[in-house]
Amino acid sequence: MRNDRLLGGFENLMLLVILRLDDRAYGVAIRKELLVQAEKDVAIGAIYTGLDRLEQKGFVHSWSGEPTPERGGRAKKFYRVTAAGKRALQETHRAVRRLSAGLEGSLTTCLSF
Amino acid sequence: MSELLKPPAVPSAILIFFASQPDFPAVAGDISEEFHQRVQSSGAKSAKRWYWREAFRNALAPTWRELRRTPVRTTSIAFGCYLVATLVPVQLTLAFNMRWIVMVALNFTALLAMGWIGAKLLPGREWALALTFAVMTVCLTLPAMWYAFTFAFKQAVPVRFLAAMIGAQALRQVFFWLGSLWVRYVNNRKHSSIVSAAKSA
Repeated sequence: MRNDRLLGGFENLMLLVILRLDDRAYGVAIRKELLVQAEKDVAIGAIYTGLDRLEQKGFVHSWSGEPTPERGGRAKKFYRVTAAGKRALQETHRAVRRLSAGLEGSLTTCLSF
Repeated sequence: MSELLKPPAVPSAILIFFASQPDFPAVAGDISEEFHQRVQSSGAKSAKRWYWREAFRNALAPTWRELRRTPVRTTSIAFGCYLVATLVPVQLTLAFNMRWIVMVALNFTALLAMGWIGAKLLPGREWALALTFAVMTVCLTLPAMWYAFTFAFKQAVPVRFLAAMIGAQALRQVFFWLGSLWVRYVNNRKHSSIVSAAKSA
């Protein structure tokens, strides 16, 4: 049986970042958080493609902020994780925990190298 | 001070030219904002270098996505456009014994029309269609030329003829691209006017 609620690696990271940033989650902030916390340098365009996919699945909700001069008069687009998104995150993390149960020894050995 | 410094014009134009995703204003705004942050933290020179890199990164990624969306459909339509734009002017010229200037005009008009029709059949993938058409033209024209000169005329290709052929093919590309990218330009404008109308409402 296939679980459609399980998130892909990038989707998982994006939802966690948006949750961490709370109401300040927009392109630049998401990119910086990914760079600092996950050491992943992602192009802004790729972030919006991922966000668009998450929005289509109903995992995030977006709204526009005020335009600013340093953005060339363009508005920020903010994102928030929906209840469905939080459920998907929980299910994914539950699956990861179940799959890694009993592998603590192997994972420690892998991580020590 | 950094707010007075505008991002470099050429990469900005590249970004706009390749823009295909509906979130483009947010993408361009984010890049511009980070550019100003970098001007303050690492200086104008480094920020400009970063802006160039990001412009290319964000322009090429959507194009690659466009190409991967429906490769078979895009290739089929590009091939159909190539056949019609190549065969119809030749057939008409032969049938009506037209002068060469009329044949040239007919050729370029056919390419413009096929670029427009192809782009209408592939909404959101106009750039992918133009690139596929260019690759297809190179793949079909060069072997045909090589075959003609090696086996039919049994001589090396004269340099002047080769230059004229390459020039003509480049011009053909320009007309096809004009047709297909015109549709993209109109669609982008329509989309941005819908977004601004929705915002003002």
